[in-house]
Amino acid sequence: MKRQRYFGQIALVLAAALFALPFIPLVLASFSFRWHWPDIFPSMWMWEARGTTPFPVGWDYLFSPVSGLGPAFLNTVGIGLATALLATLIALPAARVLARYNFPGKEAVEFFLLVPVIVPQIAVGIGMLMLFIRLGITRSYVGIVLAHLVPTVPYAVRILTSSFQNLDIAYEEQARTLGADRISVLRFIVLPLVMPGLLTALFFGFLISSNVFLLTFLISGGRIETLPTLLFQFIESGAPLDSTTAGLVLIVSIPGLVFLLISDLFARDGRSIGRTPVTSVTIPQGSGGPE
Amino acid sequence: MTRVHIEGVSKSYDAHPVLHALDLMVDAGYFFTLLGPSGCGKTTLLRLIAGLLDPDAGDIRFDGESVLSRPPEGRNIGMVFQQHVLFPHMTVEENVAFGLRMRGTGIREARPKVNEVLEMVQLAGYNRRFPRQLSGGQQQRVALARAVVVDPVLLLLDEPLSNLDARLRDDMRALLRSVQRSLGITTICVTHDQTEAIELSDRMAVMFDGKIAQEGSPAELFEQPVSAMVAEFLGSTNLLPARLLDRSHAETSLGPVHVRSCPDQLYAAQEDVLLNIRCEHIAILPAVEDAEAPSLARLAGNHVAAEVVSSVYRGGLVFYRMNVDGTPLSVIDRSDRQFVPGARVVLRIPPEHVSVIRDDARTFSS
Amino acid sequence: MNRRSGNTRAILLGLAPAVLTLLLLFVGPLLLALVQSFGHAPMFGLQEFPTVRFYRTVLGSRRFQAALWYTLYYALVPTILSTVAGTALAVAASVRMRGSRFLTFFIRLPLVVPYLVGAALVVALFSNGGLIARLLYLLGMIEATGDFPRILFSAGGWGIMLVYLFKQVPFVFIVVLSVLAGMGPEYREAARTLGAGPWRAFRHVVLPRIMPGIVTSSLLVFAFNFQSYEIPYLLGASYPGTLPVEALRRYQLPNLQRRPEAMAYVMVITAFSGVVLFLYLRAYRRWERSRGSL
Repeated sequence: MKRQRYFGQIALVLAAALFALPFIPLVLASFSFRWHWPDIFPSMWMWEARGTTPFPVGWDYLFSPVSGLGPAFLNTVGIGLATALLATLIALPAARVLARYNFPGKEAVEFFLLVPVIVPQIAVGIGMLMLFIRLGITRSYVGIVLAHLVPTVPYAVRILTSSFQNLDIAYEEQARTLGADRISVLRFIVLPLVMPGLLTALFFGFLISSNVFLLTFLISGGRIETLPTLLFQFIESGAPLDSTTAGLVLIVSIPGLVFLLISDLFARDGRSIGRTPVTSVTIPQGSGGPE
Repeated sequence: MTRVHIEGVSKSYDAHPVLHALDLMVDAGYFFTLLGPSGCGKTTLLRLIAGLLDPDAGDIRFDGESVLSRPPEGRNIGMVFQQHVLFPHMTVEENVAFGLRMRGTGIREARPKVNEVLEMVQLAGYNRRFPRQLSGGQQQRVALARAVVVDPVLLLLDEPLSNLDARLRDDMRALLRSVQRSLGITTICVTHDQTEAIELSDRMAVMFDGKIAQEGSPAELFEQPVSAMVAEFLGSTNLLPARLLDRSHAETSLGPVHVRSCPDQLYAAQEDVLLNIRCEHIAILPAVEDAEAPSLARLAGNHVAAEVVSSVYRGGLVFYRMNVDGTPLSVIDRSDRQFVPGARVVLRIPPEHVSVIRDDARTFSS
Repeated sequence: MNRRSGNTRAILLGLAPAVLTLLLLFVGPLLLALVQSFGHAPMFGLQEFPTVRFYRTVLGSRRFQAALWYTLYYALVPTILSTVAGTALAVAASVRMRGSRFLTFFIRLPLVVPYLVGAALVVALFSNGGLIARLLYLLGMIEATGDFPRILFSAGGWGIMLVYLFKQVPFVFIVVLSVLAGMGPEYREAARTLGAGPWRAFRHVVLPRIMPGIVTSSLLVFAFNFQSYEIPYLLGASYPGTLPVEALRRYQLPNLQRRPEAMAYVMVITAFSGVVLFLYLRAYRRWERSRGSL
C-alpha cells in the first residue's frame, strides 16, 4: 500500500505540472514586447517598449479601446448572467418535478432534457440560425442568450434535480405542522436548503455560457463579440507567442478560475450550508462535454 | 387538553382505498397508540389528523370543532416524524424556536422557553449545535422539544423510536412518557412495535387494512384479543383450534383445557374457536418420573407433558419450542435454568390466561 | 405512500418551461435542418421536397469521405487516450494523501476554461516557432523552425488531439475520481484481504464499480470531439477539414441553392454520432449483463 501511495503521489504531481506549466509561458508572453525565435525568454518586456513605439503593446493594447476587449468582456458577463438566470429559472420547476414525482414517461423526459448535451452543436446551431433569421433575432443579445439556453438548461436541470432530491418533503411537512404557512416554508426551509444547488446552477450556467464559442459565432454574425469569439480571431491571426493573444487567454480563463476557487471554498467550508456542497459533486457531471 | 374525534373518515389513493369509514375517539390527555403492520393506514390517519392530507369523507374534530378547513399550520399541533426530523441548516435553538417564530415570537424572546424544553429533554446547553453534530437519539429529543415548545393542543408521533437502537429506544420511551405526563398533552402515536405500544399507551388501537380491529387498554388487548390477527400481532402467542364444551372448558389437541370464562356471544354461537395462550404465561415444571409421563398428559389442572424441541437463551429469557403429542407450543420462560432439547417437562397452562377468541379464518371462509 | 402520483397538473406545469424551451430551441432547429436537407428551402427557390439529391452529392464526394475518416480519427484517438490516462490518474490519486486537493486544482483547471484556451496553449508550445521547438534548438536537436515536426495544421491532427487531451484527461479524471470517492477504500481493502494483488483487486473489484463513470465520460468526450468546430478549424489541415468544418464551409457558400448540402452534412454528423454512441452503449450494456450485474 505504501508503494502505491508513493506512485500515486508522483503521478499526481506530474499531471498537475503538465496541466499547469503551459500557462507560465503565456503569462511571460503577455508581458513581452519582443520574443523572437529561438529565445526561451522574451528579449524585451512591454514596459521597456513603452514610448519606443507609437502603438500600445501587450496589456496596454488589450486595455485600449481598439482591442475590443472591453465590449467583449461586458457582453460575455451580461450574456452569461442572463443565460444563467434564465436557465436556472426554466430548470427549477422541472427539477422539482423530476425529483419529487413519479410518472409514466419520466425516463423519456429525463433523457430529452439531457440529450442536447450530446447532440452535435453544429447541427443545432445551423438549424437555429435559420430559425432565428426567420424570427429576426440573429445578431441580437436575445438571440445569443436563447442559443446559450440549449447547452445550459440540461446542466441546470441535472444540478437542481439532485439538489431537490436531497430536500426531503418531510422537512416541508414538518414546518407546516410547526405553524409555517406556504410562504414561510418556502422562505425558511426550501430556499435555504436548495440554495447551494441554486448557486451552483447559476455559476455553472454562467461558466458554460462564457465558454460557448460556436453558437455565439453563428448567431452573432460577427456583430456581437464575446471573449471566446475574440480569442478565436486572435488565435486565427496571431503568432505563437503573441503578447495580446496570451493576455486574452489569461482573461478568458478568469471565469473558470473563479468558479474553481469558489467551489473549492464551499467544499472546504461545508458547515455554512449543512450538507456536502453540491459544487464539488457537479463539476464532473458538467464541464467535460461541450465547452 | 384536547379530545380528538374521528368520524367516518375515508381516504383512497388512486382509487385504492386506505381507510374505510373509520371512527375513533381519543380522550383528552391520553397517550393513544395506533398499532398495526405497515400499510394498514395508521400513518395516513396520523397525516389526516395533522392536516397533511385531506380525507375523502368524514370529519375530524378537536374538542368538538371540525378542523378540516384548517391547514396543518392552523391546527396548533406538534408532530415528530420518523426521520429527517431536524432542519439541517438551523442550529438546535433555531430548530426548537421555529414554531414559536412562526407564531410571531422573536428568537430572543423565545429563548427562555427554548431552554426550558431543552432541559426537559435533557439537552440543556446544546443550543448552538447543528443537527449533524448530534446523535440519532439526541436529534429525536430535539424534535420532541421542537414539537412541544409551542404548547400544541395535540402531539402526533410517527414511529418516533424506529430509527433508534435498542438501548436508546428504552431511554427515549421513558422520556416520551414523562414529557407527555408532565405536559398532560393528548398524544397520538403510530407504531408497528407492540412492546412500544403496550409500554407507552393509556389506550391503544390495533389496525388492519384501514380498519380498527380492536381498541382498548394495553392490558385488555393483551389478555383479551378479539381475533387471531390481533392476538398474533401482539406477539408470541399460541393459538389452538378448539371446540367449546361448556363456558369454561374446551376440547383441543392437548385434550380438554380449562379456560377463562367464554364471552357470551361466542358461547351462544357454539362455533369452533381458538384458544389464545400467550407464551410467557405457560409455566414449566420439571417432569416427575419417566414412567409416569404418559398419564401426565391427561392430568387435570391444565398440566401437559411435553418434550423440548429447541431452546434459545436471549437476555434473561429462554425461548422454547415444545412438542405435546404432536402439537407444537411456544413457551417463554423467565428463569436462569435452561432445558436442553429432548428433555421432558410438564407445562402448566393457567386457566385465567387462556382466552377464547373467534377463529376468524374460519369465520371469513364460511 | 404514493401521494406523489396523480398530480398531473403540477407535473405538466413544472416540466413545461424546460421542455418547451428545448422543443423550440433544440428540436425546432434540428427539424428545420432536417427538412432542408431533404430539399425544402422555398426561400432559395428550392421546392423538391422530399429529395435525397443532396445526401447523394454529399455522401458521394471524396471530400466527405476523407472528412469522415479524419473526423472519426481525431475523435477516437483522444477519447481512448484520455479515458486510459484519466482513469489511471484517478486511481493513482484515489489513495488518500496530503496536498491532493491542491494538486487536483491544477488538473481541474483545464476543465473550466474554453477549448480555445487549450488551442492557444498548444499553439504557444507546439507550433514550429513554439517553445518546445526552441527548447530542442537550445539542446541542439534541431537547427531551424523547419526541422521541428509539423504538429499543427497537418492531417496527422496532433495539434487538435493535444487540445482535446488537455481538456479531456482532466474530465475523465474528475468523473472517475468522484465515483472512486463515492465507493471508499473498503472494497479494495476487502479484496486485498481476500488475497488479491493490487492489479487483480483493481481488475475485479474497482474496475467494475467505476465502469459506469468511465463509460459516461468517454461517451461525452467522443460526442464532443466528433462535432467540435473551432479546434479543427484553427489547428487542422486546410484539406480535408473535419465534418463540422466542411459543413460550415458548405453553409457559407455564396450559392444558396447548395445550402441543403450543409444541412445534409450536419444531419449525417448527428446520425453518425448517434449511431456510434448507441452502439457503444449497447456494447456496454451487453458487457454489464454478461457480468450478471444490473
